[in-house]
Amino acid sequence: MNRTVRVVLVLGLVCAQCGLLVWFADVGYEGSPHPGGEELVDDYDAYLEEDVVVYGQVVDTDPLVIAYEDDGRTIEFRVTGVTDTIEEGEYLEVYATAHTDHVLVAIDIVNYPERGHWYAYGISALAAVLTGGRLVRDWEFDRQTFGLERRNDA
Amino acid sequence: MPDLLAHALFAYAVATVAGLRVDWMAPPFVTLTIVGAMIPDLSKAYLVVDDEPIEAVVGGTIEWLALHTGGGIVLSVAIGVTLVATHHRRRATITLGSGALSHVVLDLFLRTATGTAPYSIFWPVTTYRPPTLGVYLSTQSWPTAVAAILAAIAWVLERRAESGRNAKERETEQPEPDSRA
Repeated sequence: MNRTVRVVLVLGLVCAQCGLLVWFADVGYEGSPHPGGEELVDDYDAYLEEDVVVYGQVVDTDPLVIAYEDDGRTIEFRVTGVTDTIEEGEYLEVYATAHTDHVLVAIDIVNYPERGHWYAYGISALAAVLTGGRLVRDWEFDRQTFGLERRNDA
Repeated sequence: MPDLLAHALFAYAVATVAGLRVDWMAPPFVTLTIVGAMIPDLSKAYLVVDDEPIEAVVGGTIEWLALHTGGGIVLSVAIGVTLVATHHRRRATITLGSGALSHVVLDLFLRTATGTAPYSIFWPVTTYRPPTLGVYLSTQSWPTAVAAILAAIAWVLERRAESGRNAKERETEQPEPDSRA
């Protein structure tokens, strides 16, 4: 494959990928059967008595309140029906039924410690760097074909 | 997902063990398997990329989670395969594809509030989200520790196999004993 064909093919696939990103944005609730925080921020009352899934940070524990933030807009929900011990700062994924006054009656929750987020981001960044290093060690860019070729010593 | 390191270590272990049986699975293809295991998490680009310029170019709202669906993963793998030299295409397809598949399989062990996968893996065919086994959270470190142990075992097995191959080569390189002696 010469480099023109490769560039055209990659550009075509990237365009298709962009098309997929736009198409998926039109799929309701990101493909979930339940509305999420994004929908509730826009119009909470439209989803009353419906089962919803919200991911937010705990800002109060008595009563239990989580804050969902999206593009600078923040909405708080009071969560009832939780028997687990929850600490302020934790992140909660709440599967619940939406009631008036921003009350979510929990069906099930998953709580993530605040430090767990930083651990996941940090260790994932490390993995990306290590993999990038392996890729550079084992493969090189061929300027003739614009393709990746195995290094001779790899 | 478990963290990206867990995905990378698991993919390394699987590819390295496969290399004990498959002649062509040399380190460069183990690397491609690891890269494949990271492909679905391109959906995390929203953490570092501003949507607005892209939305201005494509002319609509975008949703990065599309990259974590079946359609998004297939397209990402296709881009990767196209970028690899033509004579490695079949192997690149197998390694990038199996790496991405290993990512999806590990995600099926996640615990979620709804008890279902956190994304629509079969989209655009269907938005159905399969149930997950609820074994671990995405922020826990023990799955990474388990993946590290598996990777270490795979590394030892591969070293032993290489030592065995080297010993065999040395044997075959030794001159025939002189029958007249």
